[in-house]
Amino acid sequence: MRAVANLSLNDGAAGSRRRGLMQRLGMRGILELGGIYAALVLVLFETLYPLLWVLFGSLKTKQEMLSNVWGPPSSLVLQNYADAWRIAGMGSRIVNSIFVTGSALIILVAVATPCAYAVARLRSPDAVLWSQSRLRPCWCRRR
Amino acid sequence: MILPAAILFGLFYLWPFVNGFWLSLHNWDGFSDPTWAGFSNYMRLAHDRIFLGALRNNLIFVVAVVVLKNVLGLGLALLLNRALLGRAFFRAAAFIPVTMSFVAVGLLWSWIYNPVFGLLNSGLDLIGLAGLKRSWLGDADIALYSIIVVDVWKWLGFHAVIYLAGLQTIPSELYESAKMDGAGPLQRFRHVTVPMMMPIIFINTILGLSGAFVRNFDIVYVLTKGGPNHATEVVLTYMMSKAFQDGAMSYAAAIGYVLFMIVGLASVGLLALMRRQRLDV
Repeated sequence: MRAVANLSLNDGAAGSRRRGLMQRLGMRGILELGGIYAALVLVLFETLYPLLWVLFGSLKTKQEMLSNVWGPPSSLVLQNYADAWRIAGMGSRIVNSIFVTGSALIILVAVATPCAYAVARLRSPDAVLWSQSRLRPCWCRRR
Repeated sequence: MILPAAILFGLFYLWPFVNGFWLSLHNWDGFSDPTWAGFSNYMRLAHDRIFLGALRNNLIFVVAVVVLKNVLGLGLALLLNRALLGRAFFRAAAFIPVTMSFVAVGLLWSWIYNPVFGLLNSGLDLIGLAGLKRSWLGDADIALYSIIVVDVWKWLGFHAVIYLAGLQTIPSELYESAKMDGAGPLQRFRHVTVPMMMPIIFINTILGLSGAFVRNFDIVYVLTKGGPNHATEVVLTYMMSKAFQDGAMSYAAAIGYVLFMIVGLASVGLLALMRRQRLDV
């Protein structure tokens, strides 16, 4: 504690804020906070590092993929991207993806919008059954 | 105005559904005329060792995935629910794998598990645990569990977000009064968090169950194609290989109906359980 007090003399506001944190949390609180951060950093690592690793791999040569598995690339090899574009024909595949997604979206909106309207306004025995149904999706709930 | 949707629904859901059942009662190779076979396809299934193995793998997959997603998801949600510096960043990061496609996730993990340049084996080398190195997808004893890890990795953020939403609906008064009565952190978790989270636990279980039964094809197919020697075969991959490699269309249809019956029974059982617990979801 004395070290912290000295620190607060030296750098004023920041130090006193730090001492405030120490006093508010106590030793146990700080350990708890440290544990939570350690767990979160572990989750962060196992989630993001594989993605980063693929990005690194895309910038390595084949030899470096085998010799330097964990680290970042020693030099940026953009040839892989050129090959992917040229040999694998990425351009036409992207156009295909856009076409499929766009068509599906247009049909979906054209069909689902009137259906949702009709289902929400219907007054018939079937409609009562529907409005009572537990399977009724949340977007159809009235009132 | 329902008509367009009803036509699409009938044409692409109801008709194949009925037609598939009719097909499962015939023998059909996909080209020649179907011949009547009665229930013989279903009889054959009961003695098909590969099918029974696939069913067993599928059940292991379902149980492991549902338990892990719920336990780890709730744990992650509890961490992300605290007032922390950089909380929004951690929340976003945890959700990233959910947004990735199954094929991309499958390829990524087949590289991680790769015995030659894989992240996992060389990581074990780095920390001096070379004895644990495996051919993660080539070893028949552990390949299924390797796939389970991938599925949990992909969906963990999704379940954690649902738990997080549930945690935020619990009134803080409950925690305060429990604290006043002298309940420690574990007791507060056991007697406040868990009872209040029951509906959320049910939702996550249902989502996990349905996903594990009928949405495990892509991940298994990309990672192992059901191999080595059917060690990771699940019902859907077996159905696919029967239909399009062996040309046994009607046999594959019968497999599909058996899976449908199992999923249907599991869903009805869960819904009945929910009604009894008076959980309206």
